[in-house]
Amino acid sequence: MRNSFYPKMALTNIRKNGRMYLPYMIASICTIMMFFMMMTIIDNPGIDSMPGNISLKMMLILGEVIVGVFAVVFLFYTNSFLMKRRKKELGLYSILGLEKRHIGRILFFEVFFTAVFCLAAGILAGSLFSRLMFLILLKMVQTTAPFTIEFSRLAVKVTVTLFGAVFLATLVSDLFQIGRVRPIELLHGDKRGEKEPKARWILAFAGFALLGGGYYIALHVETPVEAIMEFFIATLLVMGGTYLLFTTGSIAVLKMLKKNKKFYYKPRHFTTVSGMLYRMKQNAVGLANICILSTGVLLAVSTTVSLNVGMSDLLKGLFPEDIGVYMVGSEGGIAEKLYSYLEGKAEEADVSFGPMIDFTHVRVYAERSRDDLSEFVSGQQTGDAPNDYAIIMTDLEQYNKVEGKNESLGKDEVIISGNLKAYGEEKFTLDGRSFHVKEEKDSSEIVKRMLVRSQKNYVVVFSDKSIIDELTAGIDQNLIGKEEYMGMDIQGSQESRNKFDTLLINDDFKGFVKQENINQKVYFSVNSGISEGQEMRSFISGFLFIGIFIGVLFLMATALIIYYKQISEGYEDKERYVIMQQVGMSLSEVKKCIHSQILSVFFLPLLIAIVHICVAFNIINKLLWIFGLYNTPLFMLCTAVTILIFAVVYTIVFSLTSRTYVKIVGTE
Amino acid sequence: MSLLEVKNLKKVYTTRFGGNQVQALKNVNFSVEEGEYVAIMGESGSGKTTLLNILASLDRPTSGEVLLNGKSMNKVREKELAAFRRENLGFVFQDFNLLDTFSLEDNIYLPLVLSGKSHEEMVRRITPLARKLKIQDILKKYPYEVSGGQKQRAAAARALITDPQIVLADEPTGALDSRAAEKMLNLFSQVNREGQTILMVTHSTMAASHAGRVLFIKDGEVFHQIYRGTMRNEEMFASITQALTVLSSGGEQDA
Repeated sequence: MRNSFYPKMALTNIRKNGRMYLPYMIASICTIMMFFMMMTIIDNPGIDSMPGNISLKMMLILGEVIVGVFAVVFLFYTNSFLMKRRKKELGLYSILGLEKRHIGRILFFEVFFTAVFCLAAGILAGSLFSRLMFLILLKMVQTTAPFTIEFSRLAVKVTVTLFGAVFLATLVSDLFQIGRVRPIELLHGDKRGEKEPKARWILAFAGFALLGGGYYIALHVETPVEAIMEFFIATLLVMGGTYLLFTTGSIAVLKMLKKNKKFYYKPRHFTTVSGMLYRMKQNAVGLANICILSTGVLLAVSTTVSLNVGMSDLLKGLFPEDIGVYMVGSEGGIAEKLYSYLEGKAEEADVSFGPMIDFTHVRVYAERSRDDLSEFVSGQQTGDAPNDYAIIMTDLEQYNKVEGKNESLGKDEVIISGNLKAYGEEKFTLDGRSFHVKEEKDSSEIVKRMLVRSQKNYVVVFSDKSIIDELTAGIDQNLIGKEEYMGMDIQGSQESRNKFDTLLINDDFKGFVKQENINQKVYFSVNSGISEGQEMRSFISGFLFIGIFIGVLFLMATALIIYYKQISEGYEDKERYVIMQQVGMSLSEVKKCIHSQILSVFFLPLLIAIVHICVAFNIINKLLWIFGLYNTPLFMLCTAVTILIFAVVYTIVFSLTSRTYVKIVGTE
Repeated sequence: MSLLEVKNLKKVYTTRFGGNQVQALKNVNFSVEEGEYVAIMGESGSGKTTLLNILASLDRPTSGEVLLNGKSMNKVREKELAAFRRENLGFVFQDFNLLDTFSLEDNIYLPLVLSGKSHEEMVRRITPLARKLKIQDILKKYPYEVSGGQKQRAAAARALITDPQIVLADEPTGALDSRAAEKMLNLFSQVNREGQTILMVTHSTMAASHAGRVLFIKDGEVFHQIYRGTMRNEEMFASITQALTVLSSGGEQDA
């Protein structure tokens, strides 16, 4: 045979299978483009001069790894779809006299052309759009420094290598499949008698158990520390549960319905139950994939969007003042010494301090009684166990000064406010001494300025300092933290503010400690919100960038899986339509019945993804606390809006792809 | 009055982009009496399938009409057609057309379920039928688990379970081996003796030789017919063969 035969044949095949090939190529091009863009941004030297470049770059690399891993799995998966549909065609070649090695050669050229075309188009589109993406990233990070985006050779190299390998791997798996089967099997490849699925009760129950476990964890997390530790476990449990429930749970439920003869032998239920049984068997994994991807999109987008919307609140919460000084064990007027030391620095940088806010408090760790929630016993707790609390004690005078209020308290009365958990009791007892809770505040300025945000703490305001002394008298002095906070805003031009910031960052305060002869036991930290705020901003923006990036990728994958599922459903339903009409169902009845099945098949994943998100709300909310986002209503709103938009997009994708379905089954 | 009357049936297909017209049925007239077993023969492209589709109310004729029990099928409204089909007609197809997603039992129940019959009623009807068709042991199996002959008997059971006025069979032995075909045809004869009207479309001489009357279609018209009278199957076979020879050698119309 002439040498040009195989390439020509391959090209014709790609064209003829456009309905299957086109979406596959679009998906390949998009993933290649996204991977390439991300790589270009990572490789750009400009990124190194952004604020918070290290964490930003780390995050971008992490995002790139996710995109890469996902791309490999996803392209493999869609390719298997493609092959399944084409088995008949390849079987026909075999019967027409092409040997397996000839078919292999055709497949080689098909993959080769696809790979070359997709890589070229992906990289081209990527280099066009990476400029835009980079501008968006810069805008998000709010840095003014001018950057040019350069064409990155490294990005090309990495992209071509990775995706070249992926395409090669798909070719190898295709060849492997072709090599193993006989032509007659190829011919009937997509039409083998399907056994009715068996109900596997144990696995179905395991699925329920896993999902229940994941949900329980997600719903019962109380503190951010727990949330960090258990988020991963909960995610794995829910993912496992979702797969099991889609694959076995759905079938078990349908089987149960089928056993109920009175229910089953009704016109509406009869075809639906048995139809769904087969659809679920064939599509369970695909649907579980759609469900998990959708959950991923919703999570990534809703959290990153809320962080960005709440950014100014969040920064205000993290850095109430530009400079925050935390001192522990500060006796003998260190605060004043530090203040004048900092003032010296301020003069050097040509900035001045705004009004100062300062207060002192005493920290003890206490265990809250399980039986009587108003009872606390101090001890050697770390503050991380479920019943451990940090009790922050301060007196009314300081409280009124900081809050700018004029409250009054009796000797046995206190005002309480907590950072993570409302107090909700009428009494407060510490080591046996009881106080009446005069008022509980949602939050207070003191609470906002606590150093360790992930711990549960209660700020307790007593009427007089002497009461605090009495309370702490009986406690081991090593377990008592005498702490002071001092914060002030910095006034001056942006340039001098930055200069001041640099001065502070480069100062290890050793000179100050020596000069003032400060006790080694005293600990203090000076936090500058100027650069840290900027770093935080760039971190969170990078987060949003990645979140949306991955969200778009997952959405595309979801759309493609839905599309392929519609096609395979279409081919299978075509026969069913005809037979059902012959045995006496009207066309409109058949349509209605099949349409409702298709609807439930495709909207089940969305529904379950939304349930997952609702359950995950609590744990994610706690995770956001770590970033200093305490605005639960805001997060709720962002989640709701994200779900709404996603549902709309999902519906649009569904109705667009269902046109193909209608075309295949051939009913107008 | 005949059970089924076909009057001046004409069907013209227009190709998709207008232009070419193909006349599938020119002018078909015949009638079927209650309890008759009629076979319609003709070569591929003679219009057999078109005729059957029209009789099955799956397709509408261009002109002419089909009367079932004196009632014109043209007058049945589109919405009621499905129910009409379900209640009056039974179908047996060449490739069985059983749904893979149902067990044989459920396949047979399908028309009854659609008519909203109770489960007790279904069981009452299927028991004697399954015994007669010798499928009582395989009712719980799925179509892909049984042989072609068994599938076709299940399909016949599905056609018969509604006690239809007439069973329409399209090439019912086409996909069966000769032994299974023979068994199937004997079954049809038996069902017919018990009073069931059957109309079968086939181009198998063997299948047609079981019928009480054979109609030959050529170029969209009824060309010739043979009555069994007192002929045995073998004699019937011989005269059908003869008629087919005349038919294919282009003899003049004489019926």
